[in-house]
Amino acid sequence: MKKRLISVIPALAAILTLVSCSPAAPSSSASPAGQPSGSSQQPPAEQANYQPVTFHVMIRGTADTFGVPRTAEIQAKTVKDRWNIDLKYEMVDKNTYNEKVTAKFAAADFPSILYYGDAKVIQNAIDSKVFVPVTKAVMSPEYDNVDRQLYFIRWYQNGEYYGFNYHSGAPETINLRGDWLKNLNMEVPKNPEELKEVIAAMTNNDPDQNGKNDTYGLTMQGDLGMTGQFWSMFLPAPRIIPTKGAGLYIDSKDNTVKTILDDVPNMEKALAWFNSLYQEGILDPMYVTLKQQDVEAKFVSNQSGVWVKEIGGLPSRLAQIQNNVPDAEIVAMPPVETVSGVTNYDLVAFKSDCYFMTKDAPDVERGYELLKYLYGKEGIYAEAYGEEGVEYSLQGGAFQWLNEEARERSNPARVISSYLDLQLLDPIPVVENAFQAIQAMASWIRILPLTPQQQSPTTS
Amino acid sequence: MLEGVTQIIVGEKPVDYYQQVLQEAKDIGLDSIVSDVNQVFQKG
Amino acid sequence: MQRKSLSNRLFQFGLICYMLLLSAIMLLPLVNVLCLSLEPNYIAIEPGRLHLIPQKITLKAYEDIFRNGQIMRSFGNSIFITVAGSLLGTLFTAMMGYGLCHTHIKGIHFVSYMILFTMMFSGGIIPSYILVKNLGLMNSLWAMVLPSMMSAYNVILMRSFFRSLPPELAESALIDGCNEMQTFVLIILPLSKAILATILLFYAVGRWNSFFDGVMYITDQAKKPMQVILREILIMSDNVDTSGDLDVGMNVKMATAFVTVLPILCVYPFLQKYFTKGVMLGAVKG
Repeated sequence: MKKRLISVIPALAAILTLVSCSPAAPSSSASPAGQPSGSSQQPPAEQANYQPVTFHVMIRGTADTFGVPRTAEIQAKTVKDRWNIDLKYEMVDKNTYNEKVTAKFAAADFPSILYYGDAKVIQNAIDSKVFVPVTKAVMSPEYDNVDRQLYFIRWYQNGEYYGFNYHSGAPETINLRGDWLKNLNMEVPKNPEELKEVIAAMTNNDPDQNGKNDTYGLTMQGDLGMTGQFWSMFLPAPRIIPTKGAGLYIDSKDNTVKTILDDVPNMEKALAWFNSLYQEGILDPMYVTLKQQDVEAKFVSNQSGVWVKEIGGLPSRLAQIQNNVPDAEIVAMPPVETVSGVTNYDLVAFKSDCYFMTKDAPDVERGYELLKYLYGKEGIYAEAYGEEGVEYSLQGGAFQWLNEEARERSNPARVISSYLDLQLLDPIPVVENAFQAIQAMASWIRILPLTPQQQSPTTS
Repeated sequence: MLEGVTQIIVGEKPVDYYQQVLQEAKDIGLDSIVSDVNQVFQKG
Repeated sequence: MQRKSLSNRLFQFGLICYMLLLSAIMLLPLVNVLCLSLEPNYIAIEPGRLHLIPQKITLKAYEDIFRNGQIMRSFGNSIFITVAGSLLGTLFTAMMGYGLCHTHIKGIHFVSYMILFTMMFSGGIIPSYILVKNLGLMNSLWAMVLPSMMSAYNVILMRSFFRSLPPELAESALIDGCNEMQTFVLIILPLSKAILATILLFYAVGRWNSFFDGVMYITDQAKKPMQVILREILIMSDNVDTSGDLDVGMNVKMATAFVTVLPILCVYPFLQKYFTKGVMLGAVKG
């Protein structure tokens, strides 16, 4: 008996293995927490008209794995209640995203909605009708106040819009430690010369008043990433880094594409400025070895006083600094007009990155509604703040957080970077200050179109 | 390009070394990139 | 007891110093990670110095980890993948290795060459993805166990070991009335504990560290293994899509890394003797 049992066990193991090759049971719906879909007991009127469908949304990024992923939960519940959609998010980190998309496309395993930025692949997908038009979503009344020519033009072909843009981006400003400026009795600089004086003072004059000579005014990345705002103070294009993407820009005077590298006098001015910072010992000499995280770490740990960052990213960093220095402040430098009239903060729209709906979307009409919800006002507020009545309350127009964890997790960046005219529900001083600083421009965003070929291969 | 720019910033080379850096970029095809992009851009 | 000569003692002393130095160098990164995980974030992110002794100790990072359902769930996923993958992998590798020993079977050499071929050539990501999808394993933990269950190298190792066993053992079992399966389970496997433990350890470490399969085949956040979640946490601040990305604290990242590596650290010392013995088992005869 024992011998028979022993001989049978390996065979059983093989059978179990084969049995487990059966198609995976549909997993529970959208919430990455694996919670059941948020369908209500009594289907509301809208849902009752729809058959249940599953939308698979693939995006590049990392889920908020710390804390409950409430955004997906809230969005899943809403779309289930309204359109009987089971929402399944798939988040893939940026380093493996392209490989996974390639593999899925090769296997004809298309998600319903996909975020992508590789222009060649997108064009192939449009030509082979893998991507379906989203014209109806773009042309809906909610977007009548949006400049469609600007935000959706990139993938407008043959009378149809294919890409659903999700944001305009927010300005990346040159930010300074406001408390250090106060300690040094200095004003926010307005031009490269004043900025250099501030950087020098922050290096030499003990701005944090700790008695130690342990600060640099400026540090930056070794590959010159996030330094476009400095270069553009001298060059005729906004936010441009000479060592990336051949330095191409559109010269609005004659409407041709040029490279800033050819503008030798202004390039030499910019180089001389950086060189003078280094020679005077006020630019961190270790900068050549630093990566983006290192530059941020130095700013947040009171080792440097100037940092370029998108406005939406300032609140969380200020909170980190204030753990150690409760009186810390961050102020934004106003934009500096370049030699061509644009400013060093002007944004470039016309990027390839968009959301696309594929032919495997189970219901195209509901897909339009889903896109408008996820990347419209409601979806953005859900991502930024959570659910009214759970995470926050808006009684009589006054915003109040209902729990501390939600406040710590809140991310207003989507609100700030949306092309919709959205207001921050919970005004944040450092963000308001940054917006005020850039109000000096005639309009705080001047969007300049960028040709597809100007996309660096690394942006997709 | 990055190496040349970095050498100028840290003072290993003078600022006018940039012209040599630019020439090296042109030698590997900078001008043809600009003209290709212009062709596509003008087509619209 | 024979007194050791002076040169002997000096040599021992030098050897001990050298090994201590080597150990310190190897332990430094681990100590650094542990120290960062115990510090508050505003101390942990200070660049420009080595964190070896915490300036201030807090367990908040570990509290965050164990309070977070996602981390513990991914821990469970990794344990399942490791246990199932190691046990099944070891069992089937042993079965295949033993089968390949029977050189009298026609076509056995062809099968051996096919296995060797897979050591040198692979289909790549796309065919693997298509295969897993067509097998219905997408978004299933079994996608991280079954397709890569057996390693050709380990099969060869097993085969070499089984060949070193006296064939008379199997013959005498067959004479006594055992069938092939009983011979394998009752006679061969008990004699192969060392190599089995070695292969089990190889598979366990490989499964625990597997990450790419998790990224490619698992879509549901709740099913992702620990390594994928760890990677997401570690690169969260590099996220370019979300403007004003939320940054997980450095202390939390290091705590997650430490928690991920801890099980292997705990298990490895007990299996190390099998590891060192077993690597040579398939190679050195007599």
